[in-house]
Amino acid sequence: MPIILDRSPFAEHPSEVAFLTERVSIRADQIIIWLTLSLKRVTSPNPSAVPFPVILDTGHSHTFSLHERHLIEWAGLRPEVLTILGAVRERGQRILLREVNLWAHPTAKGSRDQLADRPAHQLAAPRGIAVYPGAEFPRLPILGLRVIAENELVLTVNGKRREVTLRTPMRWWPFS
Amino acid sequence: MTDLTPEHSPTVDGAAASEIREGILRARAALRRDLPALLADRRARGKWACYSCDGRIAIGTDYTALIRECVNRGIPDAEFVIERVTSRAGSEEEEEIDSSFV
Repeated sequence: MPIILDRSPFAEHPSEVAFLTERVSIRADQIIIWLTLSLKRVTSPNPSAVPFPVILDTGHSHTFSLHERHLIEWAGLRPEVLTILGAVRERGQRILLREVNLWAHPTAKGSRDQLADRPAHQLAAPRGIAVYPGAEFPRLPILGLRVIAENELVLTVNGKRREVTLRTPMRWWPFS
Repeated sequence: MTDLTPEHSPTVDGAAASEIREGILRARAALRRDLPALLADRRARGKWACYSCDGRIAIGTDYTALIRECVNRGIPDAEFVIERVTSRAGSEEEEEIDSSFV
């Protein structure tokens, strides 16, 4: 039963995270998950890819959204090499859906930013990810509720402790 | 009443259709054709269905294994789809989403 977020804290106050050469602001009460991306046919995470921070937002009704600069500079993928799977509409804007594999990198128990020494977990995004043009919106990449549902993950938020746990489901019998 | 049976799934508009590779459109069409039978089969419902232009590749619980199967068969990325067996599988609809306020 892989655990992706293991009692990861979400802060009461704004904070920052550093990765690559960037520092990004995290608002109060935002849940962070660390991802890398790969081409669809690459079925293991790229060992040289640097995980980048993503907001886990159950109010986002798609799988995963980011803008072109995130895709190119953070994920290291050019949009034109990713197969177009369709489009969605958001606030009157038409956003193309592109095909990638998502890899969620587990964090250490009780930590938001320290990655654990455990393998990354693949998250299926079968309808594609929404790639917004430009470099403005969304401010940070967003992982939505659909990815939790489609990957049958279990999300537990402990408000009193300000901690979140995200894990795969328990399996009680062998699956085909 | 709008007919939303799999055979009459809303289609993508002309602009989008031209952006989506023929192989993806044909794989989804094959999935839609089989969808009533898949939904009626409790062993298939809710699992991953992998389809290419030529039809069904496999039904399974392991998404990564299905991708590997397609790679092993030499099927290009733009010629197969993997979707959950639900009533929306294979749809070409351009959905309205909310991106929240990050």
